[in-house]
Amino acid sequence: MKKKWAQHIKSALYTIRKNKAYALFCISGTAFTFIFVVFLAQLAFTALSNYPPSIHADRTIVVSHFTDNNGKNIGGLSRLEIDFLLQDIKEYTSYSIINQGTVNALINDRFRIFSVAYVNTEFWEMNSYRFIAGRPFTKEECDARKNGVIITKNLAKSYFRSLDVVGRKIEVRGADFEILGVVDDFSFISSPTGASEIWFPYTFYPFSNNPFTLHVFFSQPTAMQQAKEMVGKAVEQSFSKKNVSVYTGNLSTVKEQRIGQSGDSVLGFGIGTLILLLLLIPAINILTLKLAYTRNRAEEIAIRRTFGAGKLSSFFQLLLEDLLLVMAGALIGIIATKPAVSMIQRTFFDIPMLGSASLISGVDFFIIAGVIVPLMLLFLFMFGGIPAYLTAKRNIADVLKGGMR
Amino acid sequence: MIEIKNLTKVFYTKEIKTTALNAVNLDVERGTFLSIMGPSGCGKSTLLNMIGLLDQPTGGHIVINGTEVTAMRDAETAKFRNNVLGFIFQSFHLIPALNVLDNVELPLLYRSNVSEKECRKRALDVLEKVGLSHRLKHFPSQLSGGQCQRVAIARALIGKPEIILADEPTGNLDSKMSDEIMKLLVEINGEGTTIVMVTHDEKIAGQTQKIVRMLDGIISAV
Repeated sequence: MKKKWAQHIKSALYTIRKNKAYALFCISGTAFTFIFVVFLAQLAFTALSNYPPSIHADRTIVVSHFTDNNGKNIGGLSRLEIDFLLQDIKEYTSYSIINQGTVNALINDRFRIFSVAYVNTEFWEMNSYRFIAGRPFTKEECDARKNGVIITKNLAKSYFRSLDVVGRKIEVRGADFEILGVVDDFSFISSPTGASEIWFPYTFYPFSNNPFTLHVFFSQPTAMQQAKEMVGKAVEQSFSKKNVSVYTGNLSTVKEQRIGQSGDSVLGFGIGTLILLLLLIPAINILTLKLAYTRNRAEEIAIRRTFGAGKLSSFFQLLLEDLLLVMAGALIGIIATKPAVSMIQRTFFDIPMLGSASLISGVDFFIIAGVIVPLMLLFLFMFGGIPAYLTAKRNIADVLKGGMR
Repeated sequence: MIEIKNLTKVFYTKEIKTTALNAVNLDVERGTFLSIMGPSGCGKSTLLNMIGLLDQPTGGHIVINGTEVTAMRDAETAKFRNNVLGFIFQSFHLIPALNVLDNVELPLLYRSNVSEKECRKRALDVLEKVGLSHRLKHFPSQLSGGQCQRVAIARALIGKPEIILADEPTGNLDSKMSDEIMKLLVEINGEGTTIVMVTHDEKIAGQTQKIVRMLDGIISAV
């Protein structure tokens, strides 16, 4: 059995060598297709799951800006009001407070506007940013307004050309801030602070009376509807102190905010359909080319069938050759996805506020094993299945009349 | 050993209907070296393809070793070809990607009861028999026509078939090579293997025990 498959592989490699143009077309077609497929699959996974750093996205309620019952904007809650609000909610597991903005910063003699976030210590506990150097700031450092910041890996690499930057300084508004930690790449879609590249303790937020965004995390087994009702009541109480009526019917989780009104199934279905279309078009192209070039393979298959191979075994032998090409193409696609997405982002969507943040942080093993491998096999059957079937069932005597030495 | 009854093969194209075999009847006894002769298009290769289960007849029956083979399913015919039949073709039909040894071992790969070691031993034995044990790692493109045909004979022999079907095995060879190949086939027949061979060449056919002549899809003389 092992020897038979070793022979099949030998034959497949020989055919690939003899048909370099076709092999190149097939591999590059598959690679380009899979760059988009991997990107879409990873993007969907990032958006639809509790993808790091927002590992509690579906159980974290966002308290931000509100409207009254007439739809008029009535703003959000200040830091002090949030403290009172949390006393009313009680059953939450943890919370983080966030504010975002931009700062002019001088880093390693280079000046630029950066997208930044002001957060509390619990922010780092609730969200799973991976620290590749240093640590998050502590509650004491936060309360004492110690000049410390966390930065992204990309920022460290761009401005210091090193990841060993803990202890070095950046200058903001004339003050030096010590770098306490460096976090690894993340997708700005799944980051609660979006594309922020620098995080300050919230106590440095310059407009302390401005509203903060509050993320309240409820762990299992609290039902999320019940949690929303609790938060809604607390928000109503908070606004009632200002004699303002507030509409709390649209309270949502981090994940619900991320995917908007569309919902999991609609978004998943949409991306799924797009992926199938992406697979179908190149599959038809390769299929057309393949149908025209199967003569050599037909002869070998006829010889093998003459000497005892069945149609099914021949079918899988033919698919093996395509599998080698598709695997090579898909592997290139997987490896090239992150650089390709970054390049497209930089070239066509160069938004300064995004800084070095990326749409996807990488490609997960789960996506490769659970999505890409099955899609690769589907793609294989889409363009290779029909030619393999047609070749394997051809009349042996008819094929061998052609001759092959 | 081979009983052919009313065997008919009709080829249809859009415009014409061609009767390649017209109610052919033939019996081949065990151990016979039979040659089938006739002009081009008379149906001799078609008949050989039917006996070799490489094509389906339009009508009639073929019984080999008491087994009705015309009604077999694909998996059964594949197994039958592998166990009972050996094939030699005019244009050799070696697989170009595989070396001599791999080409010869091919039929045994489809047998589950032969170990790799046994497979290798038998391949070396048959290659020794056809005088090619010094060309094991050569590829078909590196061999002469006569050598290719000897590899093809070794491949046909490795499964120890009861019947060898040879379709013009000397058709692509010069007279010296043809004589060598025929000598080998006569020797194989002498060891008890039944051989059915298609040929155009009277001299070649003259070396076999029985000659069947075909004309326009029927057997005209035995």
